[in-house]
Amino acid sequence: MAKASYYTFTASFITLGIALLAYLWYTIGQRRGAGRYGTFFTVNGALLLTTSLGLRWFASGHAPYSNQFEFSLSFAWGTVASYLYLEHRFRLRSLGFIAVTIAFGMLAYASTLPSRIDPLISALQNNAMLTTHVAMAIISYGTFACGFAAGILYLVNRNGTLSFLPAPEVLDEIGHKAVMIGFPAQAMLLILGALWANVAWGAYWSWDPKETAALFTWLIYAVYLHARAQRHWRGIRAASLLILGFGAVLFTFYGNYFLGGLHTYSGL
Amino acid sequence: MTATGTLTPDELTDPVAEPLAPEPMERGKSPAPRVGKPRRDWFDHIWNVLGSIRFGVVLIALTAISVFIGTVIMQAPGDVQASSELFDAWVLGPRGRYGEPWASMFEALRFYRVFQSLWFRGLLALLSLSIMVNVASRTPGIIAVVRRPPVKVPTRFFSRAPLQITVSVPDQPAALRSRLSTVIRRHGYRTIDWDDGTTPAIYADRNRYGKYGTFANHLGLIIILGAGVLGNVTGWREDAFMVPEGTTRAVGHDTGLVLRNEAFVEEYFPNGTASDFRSEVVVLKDGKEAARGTIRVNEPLDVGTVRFHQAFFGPAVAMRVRNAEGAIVYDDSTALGFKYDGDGVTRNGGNFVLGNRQYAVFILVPSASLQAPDPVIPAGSVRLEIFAPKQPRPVAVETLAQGEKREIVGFTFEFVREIQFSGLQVVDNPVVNVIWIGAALMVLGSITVFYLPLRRIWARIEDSPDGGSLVTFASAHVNEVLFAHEFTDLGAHLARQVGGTVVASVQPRAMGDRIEAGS
Repeated sequence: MAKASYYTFTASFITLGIALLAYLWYTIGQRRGAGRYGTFFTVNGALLLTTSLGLRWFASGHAPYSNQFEFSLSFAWGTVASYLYLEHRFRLRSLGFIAVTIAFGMLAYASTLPSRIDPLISALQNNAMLTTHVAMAIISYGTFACGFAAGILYLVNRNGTLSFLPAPEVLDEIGHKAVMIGFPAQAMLLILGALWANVAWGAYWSWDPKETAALFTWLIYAVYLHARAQRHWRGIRAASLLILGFGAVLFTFYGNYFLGGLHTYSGL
Repeated sequence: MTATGTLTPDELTDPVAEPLAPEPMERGKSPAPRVGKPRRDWFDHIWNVLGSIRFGVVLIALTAISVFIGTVIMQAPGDVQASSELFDAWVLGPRGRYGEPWASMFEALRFYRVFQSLWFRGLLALLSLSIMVNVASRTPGIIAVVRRPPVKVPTRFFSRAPLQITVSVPDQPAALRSRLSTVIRRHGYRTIDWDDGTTPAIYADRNRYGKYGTFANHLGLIIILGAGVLGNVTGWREDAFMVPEGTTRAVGHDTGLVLRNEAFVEEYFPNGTASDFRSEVVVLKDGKEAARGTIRVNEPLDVGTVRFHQAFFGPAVAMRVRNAEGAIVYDDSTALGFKYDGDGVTRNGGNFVLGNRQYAVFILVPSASLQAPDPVIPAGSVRLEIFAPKQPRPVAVETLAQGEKREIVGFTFEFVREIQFSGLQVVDNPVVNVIWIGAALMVLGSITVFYLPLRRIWARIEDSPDGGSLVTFASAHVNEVLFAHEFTDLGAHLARQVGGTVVASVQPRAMGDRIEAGS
């Protein structure tokens, strides 16, 4: 089962690589027909990734969020799922090459990590909390990745002169919609983490570096939402905050390598 | 007037107070105060600043920067912060890491204890105050939007609104309005009929109560911050409540609780990591059993508002000490829960006091994490360092094997056996559930604000030159791509349902032509 999970992970990696090329051709090469292939391969890559995670869940007996390999796969899944939702909702594919690049990069990073299934250490033996707490991280990180993609494209096409990209107003709204999903999810991530910490460590908040990094991310998006409510903060400033916010997401994600603290044992 | 040059209903309907002409000034007299526009003093200015979103954004940004600083710069642990001596010893580490002048600067700015610093707490307090003032300032406006919607708009709004759809319908205007209202209501809108002169018109809105989500959201945040402060004031916690197996320890804090550790079990996976560690405990209150259970990392034991958490474990030793007459003066176990470095190795240690503070006995054993044997203390033995009051050096240092007895400073020490201690965290936070209520309010408020946005549409039903009616739907929502599409779809759908056809449509260019076809 674990091997099958790894094979489907590899297949999704390749499929998303093809999707990335198609989206690049679509957006940069301005070949409209390539967009359909981009969507096709992204949908299939997402299905393969879902299968891989499902098989791993079945093999390990717990949600596939217990180490950096599993979380990287889940992060990629969240990014692809969020992107496909926004592509469907806004009927545009121009974000594809950035969003799929992030997912592809996560899978490339995961391929460098040990993929063995280890038993859960005692601190993580709370299936309900592990599943819901990290699931919120996947939703928020995935949607923030799409917000980042919208922010980048906004800055590229801030004057609206590039006809092959969506209008700046559209990109601004996509970024906002992404944050509207990610922001409550990030809040839930913090709250469920606090709830779990209160059960496991006897303190709902310990100012642990991973906690504060996640809080930092949430605060940046809080700044974004409040600042964007002011008309003159829409546009370049809001787009810059989307980019900064995703920087904070990556900082939190990779933070266990250099931050230390209570979360280091899990590699998350 | 909006940036796009279109009018919103609020702008059109807001009454503009005409300033009264000033009275002619007489020599030596102050100008007459303006009626209807009271003078603002500095209380008003402070209130306005505190309640402004711009100031709130600055405060959130400053909080984010502070949290970032506290994340990347080493933070002194809680017990270190509580003792200036421990802090002075601890700060040598960051000094070596960051170097001068940064290290001294960080120390002066309290960057090694950001989250406990006065400036950070002051920032949170100011942010809380700003949120409260902001919500209080916006409350009348929000209530007005919900309870007194701008039902009537000027006729020109229908030709200048950013979103417009005109539908031709064969029915006469008077007959059409009730049909149209019914159809609009089926889409989740509330409708209010009104007349623009003699022309029938409809106001429709949806999710008006969603505006109240902002109250829940910000109230939740204030509750969380308030309950956090209250919990620190009214609660307490013991982070290192160490109870060796088979022993009993009083919890203290006037709880009358005593915990007996009946057994401690640790289990490991084949790869050496701990799979489970648990304590079988009994909690007594005023001598009577109040609770009994197994405590694991994710399974604490509650006794009233006091909660016992399994946190860590380690070695303990059972010792028996007799005085010169042979009477037992100490027969208990000592948790060796502290780490000591010496002789190039790490050891676990703990202590107990003999008699009426006659001697302090420190017990050391080699740490289980050592790769090589301890050069001084053989495995399975303990070293006793016995201190007299106010003496910096021990008066005796002896090493005992398990089961061995030895006479030291007039007492007979017996190392009975090595056991385990269970390290618990004991917490009493009577307001912790209030935090969860605040958190639920915060999230529900966010979701309400984001997913139940207020939508407003106006419809005006005119006579058509060809005998039927021309219905113009207009909305003032600008820069909302998805709503622009929803509005267009809604207009087309309404047209179909009343047997009409769309004859004209207006929406900002960016909302329409840049959306790629979902082929």
